Amino acid sequence: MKRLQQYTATARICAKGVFDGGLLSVAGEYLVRFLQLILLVQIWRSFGESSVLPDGMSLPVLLTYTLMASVFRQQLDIITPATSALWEGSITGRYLRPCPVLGGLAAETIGRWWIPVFLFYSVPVLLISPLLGISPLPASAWNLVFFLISLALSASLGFALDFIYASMAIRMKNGCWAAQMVREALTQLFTGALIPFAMLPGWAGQLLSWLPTGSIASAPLSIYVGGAGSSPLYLIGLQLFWNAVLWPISLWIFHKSEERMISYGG
Amino acid sequence: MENMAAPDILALDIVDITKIYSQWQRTGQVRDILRNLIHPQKKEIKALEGLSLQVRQGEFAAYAGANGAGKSTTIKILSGILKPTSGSVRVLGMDPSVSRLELMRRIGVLFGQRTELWWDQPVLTSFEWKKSVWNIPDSVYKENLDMVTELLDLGELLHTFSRELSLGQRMKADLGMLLLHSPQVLFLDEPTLGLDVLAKRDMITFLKKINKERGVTIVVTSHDMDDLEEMARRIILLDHGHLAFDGSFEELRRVQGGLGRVRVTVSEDAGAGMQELPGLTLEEVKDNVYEYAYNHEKSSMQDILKALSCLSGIEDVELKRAPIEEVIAKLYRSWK
Amino acid sequence: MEDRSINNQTENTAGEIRYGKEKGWFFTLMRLYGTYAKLDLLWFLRDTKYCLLYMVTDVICALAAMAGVLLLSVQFGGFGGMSRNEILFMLSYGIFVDGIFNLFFTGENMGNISRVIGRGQLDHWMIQPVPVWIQMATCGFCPFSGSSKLVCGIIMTVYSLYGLPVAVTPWWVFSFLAGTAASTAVILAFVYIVSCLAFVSPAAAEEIAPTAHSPFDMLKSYPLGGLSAFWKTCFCTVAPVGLAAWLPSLSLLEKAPGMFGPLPVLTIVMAAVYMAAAGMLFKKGMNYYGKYGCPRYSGFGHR
Repeated sequence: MKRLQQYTATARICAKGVFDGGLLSVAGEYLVRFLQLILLVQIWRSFGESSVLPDGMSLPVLLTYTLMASVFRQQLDIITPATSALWEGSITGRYLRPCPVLGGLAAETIGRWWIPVFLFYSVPVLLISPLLGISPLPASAWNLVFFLISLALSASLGFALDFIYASMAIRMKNGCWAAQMVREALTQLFTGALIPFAMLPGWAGQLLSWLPTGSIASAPLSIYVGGAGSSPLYLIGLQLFWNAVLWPISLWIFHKSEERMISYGG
Repeated sequence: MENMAAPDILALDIVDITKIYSQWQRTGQVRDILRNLIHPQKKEIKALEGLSLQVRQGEFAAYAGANGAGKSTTIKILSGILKPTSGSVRVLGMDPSVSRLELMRRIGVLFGQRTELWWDQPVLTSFEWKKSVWNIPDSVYKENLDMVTELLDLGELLHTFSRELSLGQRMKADLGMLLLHSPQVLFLDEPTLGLDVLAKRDMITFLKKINKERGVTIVVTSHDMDDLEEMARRIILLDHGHLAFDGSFEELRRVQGGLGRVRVTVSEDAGAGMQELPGLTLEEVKDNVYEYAYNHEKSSMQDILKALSCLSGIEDVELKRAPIEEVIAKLYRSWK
Repeated sequence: MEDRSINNQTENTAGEIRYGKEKGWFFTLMRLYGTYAKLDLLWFLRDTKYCLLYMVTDVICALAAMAGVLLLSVQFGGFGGMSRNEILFMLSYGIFVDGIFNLFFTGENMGNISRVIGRGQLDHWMIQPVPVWIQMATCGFCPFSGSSKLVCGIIMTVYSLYGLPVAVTPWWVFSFLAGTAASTAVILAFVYIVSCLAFVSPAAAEEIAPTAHSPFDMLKSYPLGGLSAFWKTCFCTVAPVGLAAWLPSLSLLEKAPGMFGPLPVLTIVMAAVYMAAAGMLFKKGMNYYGKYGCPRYSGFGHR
């Protein structure tokens, strides 16, 4: 309970920091995101009208997939302040707080990105999506339930991967931003957030869906929209497998890097 | 380009400047979040109010004040980074906001907590970068490089990456870089911040030397009053954006009425009559040491010594000036 | 410190220095490009391992950016009114544009200007005797560490042209270079326009430049031919993603009507409009900065 209080306080202060900037500053970022969504939706529309979509992927399904990828982008692409804190040297401060460092970083992520984006981007976009001709509804009530489970597993996997990236970054010192750049460049393609794997050539889609990154966006989104090749239990099972593999690695490599983090960060 | 200011032109001429900032206010309450998003609450802060002062060429002036008094704001205005809300500013006869480029060739600005060095390059490469950006002629650059290398003992640092320097070394390198274009006026914002005793001494010696021997006008801010007193002949004190005092350190002591200190050490069995002595105010008693403050305009030294000579058991008498830190702390407290 | 006299500096006492004669902004620009090229080369030679790492990273990013659309075009045999080879050319054009952007605006966060503004680092610019616009144009120049994407773009463009019936004349090459420069200018201007928010909200908008850049990263490589006229107009004007690769590529492939053959006139005109708007807004932002300053400072990412 006390721990929860600590995390809530951290998340709250991070969220306030964003809101304190006034509407203009947050609106700019959300407007760019919305623009991106509109553009992708229009591209898919023209695509759906001119090309024959693969089995199980109709235009409405494709649009719902894209909408949900945008709405839950923060949860499907976890970037904690770990890497930047390492680079700035502010990671040391996190070790001086009476709560676990990883938990604190997760709380900061929730406060700084999840809450503001959900309130001022996700909810409004969901509400206006019917006006854009996109259905925000899941394939069925069960799909929604499985989606929520899958989303939680996806976020968990995202945190594990982020901590691995951060630990690698500290070892790469000046090359840490190179790792960050590669990660950002590959995320959209490898997670399936931008282009559903079903749209790619069969071998490529299959290969990407087996990777841990495939469990991050493609799995929950495919479950949400339903359709062929998206058996919820199979996808959730795969997510559980990757969580079970990556979390121990993440914790091990993070703890192995801690000394370096503190001495470098200090 | 001729870069010489006529000697009769003031180094700084600040006339009645006011600088108003707006500062965002937050209650910290969740219910105010929406209100802040749409209409952020702001408060106007007068960082400087009706400030006027002049500094002649060749002066070494200390610019002091409590936190938030407006010191850094003044330096930013003098450097052309900020524009005053009203009033006029002239640095070497130029308006910083109008003639920024020309002015930057003639002045040097150092913010103690910032660096102009290139992080991933050796110090010398940063110096060469400055040579190019400032378009410093080869002969001047070489001469100044030799000078700062020798006087700041930069020899071994020149080929070290800036990221690997200690704070003291970094400050020395920054100061060296600042002087490469032979600035006529230096604005130094807390240059001794965080430096150890030795690094501080080196910096003070160097600054005094370039002021004395090259006639460089220096305006320096610091919270370390002893440093300021050692460096500067004149102290300008700011209080909440107003000019509170402008004169020498001795005048400041005189104004505060605590010009001197007498420290009397007595033997263990003595002490009677030490609590009240004519012309002296007891400040502190520790073990057998009594420290008094006196104002020499009100009490003559002869009277004080006469009073002390009447007492028995005195082992030692030490006369000293009031510590400037104490004088200024008293002032700051009176402004609150 | 030794107590040595500096009286021998009489020829160079304060106030008697003669600076190198400034021959105008063009020479200053060239001098500074030279300086930053040298700094970049020195970094390359001293931190070769990291420098190579960043160069390889750039290539990976370039390939990752085109992989999605390339796979779509393989799967569907081209789309959006373009054949597979034409899409490959457009993707190569996009990488070439990214290459120019990296070459000139990688260093000093020049391509992510909201970071410079939001962290209060403009103060460093203000104490240099060089106009702000010249500093912006030059201090991001990385001809060695930032060149890999451009090299990748050149190779890809040459390769893609083999599969297309394009007559590569000097005029076509000029049109290509003018188009890529204009596309780079559009991206840069868009990022700068959005980044001006950081003048008003430095903390909240510090990271807005990468966000403003992201639509170009993700979507500029999509062919927009299948979109309605309304959306095409939108994406070539107010949300200029189409100007970063699609529209100029069509002109260069002579699939868009134009009076000057392959010259992407509309992209060049829009680039001029965007640059003017960005210049105007940035100037307003600088005035705001002069009035209110930046209430925070962080040296993070500076130099």
